[in-house]
Amino acid sequence: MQPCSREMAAGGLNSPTTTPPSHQFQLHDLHQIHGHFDHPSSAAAADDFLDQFLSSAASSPWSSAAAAADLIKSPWADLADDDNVAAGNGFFDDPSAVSLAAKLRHHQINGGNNTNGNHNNNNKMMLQQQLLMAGDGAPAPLFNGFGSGSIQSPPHFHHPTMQPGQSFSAGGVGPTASAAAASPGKAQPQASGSAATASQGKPRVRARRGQATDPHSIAERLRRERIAERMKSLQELVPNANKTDKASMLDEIIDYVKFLQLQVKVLSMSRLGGAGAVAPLVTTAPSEGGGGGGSNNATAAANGGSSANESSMTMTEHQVAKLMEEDMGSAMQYLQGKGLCLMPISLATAISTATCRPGQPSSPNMSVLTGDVAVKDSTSATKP
Amino acid sequence: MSATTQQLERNFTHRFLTSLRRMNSPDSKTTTTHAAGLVIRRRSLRIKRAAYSSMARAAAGSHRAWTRAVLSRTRSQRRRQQHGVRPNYIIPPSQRRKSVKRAAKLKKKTKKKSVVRRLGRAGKLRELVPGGSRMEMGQLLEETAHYVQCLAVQVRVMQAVADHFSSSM
Repeated sequence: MQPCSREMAAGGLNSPTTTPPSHQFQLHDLHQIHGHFDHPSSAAAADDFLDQFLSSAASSPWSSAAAAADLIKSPWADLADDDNVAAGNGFFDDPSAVSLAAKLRHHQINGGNNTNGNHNNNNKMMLQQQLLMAGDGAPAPLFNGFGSGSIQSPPHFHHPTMQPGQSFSAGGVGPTASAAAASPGKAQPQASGSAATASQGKPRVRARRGQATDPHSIAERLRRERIAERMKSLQELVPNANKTDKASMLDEIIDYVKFLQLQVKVLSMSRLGGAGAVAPLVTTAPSEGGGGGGSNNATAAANGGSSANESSMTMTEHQVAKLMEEDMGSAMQYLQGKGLCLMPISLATAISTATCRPGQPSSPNMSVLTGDVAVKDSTSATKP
Repeated sequence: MSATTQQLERNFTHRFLTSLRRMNSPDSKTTTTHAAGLVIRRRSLRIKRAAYSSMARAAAGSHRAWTRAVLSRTRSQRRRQQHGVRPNYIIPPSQRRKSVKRAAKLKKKTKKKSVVRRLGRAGKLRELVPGGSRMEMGQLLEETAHYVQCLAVQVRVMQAVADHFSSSM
């Protein structure tokens, strides 16, 4: 699903002669450089746009392309600042395009923190379209440059002031051959060189700037990309998955798996629907949480076994009584935290007499049933 | 809920309920003369094991490594429960060759934890996911995703069954 969305976003702006696989690797590079797990489709639209924007070496005037590079780099550098700072550069002909591009970068950078991925995606698409429609001069040659089918054309914005964090823009259109990476110098020779390499159009895996393209690093990078993909798919499965850090994401996954396994254990303990089977789960004191109603109760009851917890029961009762003096709501919350609830005595006796079957020992099971029903009511009440 | 999840759920429910029914009906295995608490614990363990094995069988169509690991673990647990405290000496003939090799390996590695590759968080995940100690990172994450999916289905179904049983009491 995700690669399709990327290709669709790219396909609307690509010409048919472009090679999708290398484009995919390019996007993967961009994701890697991000270093955290953005929502892929939200980043894809901006990446595609950035790609076209930067791969304009073939036919666009170099000044506008260089200005575009500056424009795109500066919002990255001034991440915390306002978008208007980028507009202050003023290299570009169209100031509105500058601000729009800055907003695009800003949105993309903040996109990882936002859980509302669809919203971001729509914003980016809108911004992208606006930026495309604004400014007749630059985007048209961008399209032309892109339409010639050269994704491989790398305009090299190898400014010495570029920080490693900004290798984003360079990495996105990184050099195919190491020779291109070695020369960060003049614009014109590079434009011609990139045009020459563009004409070859080899569907090779593009290496990042400064890295050799030997098979080991490629394999390593592929492996890392695979792992990142899998982490993203896991992120969708696990709730509370808005962590951008791989380590905290792993912690979240581990906790979730532990939680699910504990739930299975608890449910298997409460499933024992035989006569007297549930009684040992409950202590001798009445209305202590039966099998359900929170893992704490169940594990405490199971571990406690036959140990009399009446002291804790009276303590709970005292606590509840004290809370009820102050505020009814807090008392209810306290009980709910324990997996219990309050019910009128008449109702409790009615339920126990209604479900009491002949031939069973009277009090433990009745208390079990009451506790179970009470607990069940509270859990069903709190269920969304 | 996708179609595969629904199919998985139905498959698991069918197997699980079948195994529960088989467990509840009185047969020779259940008549033991142990203390009541132990019977309960045994029974809960049996239910948990039935849940995991039926889930593994239901999910076996997707050729996952963790299903095989779960099934082998279930089988060893069952044998351990049946034979009491002496699992090491009683070797069923089907497992004889493998268990000899395993015993030789276990002599070198004293603890179970030493088998698990200690890589920080990934090591913890390997412990949790069945069969995780033998996979590499990419496969581990894939198996974890499928395992989490199946666990969620399992919890949902078991909760529904528990509700049904407790309400119709």
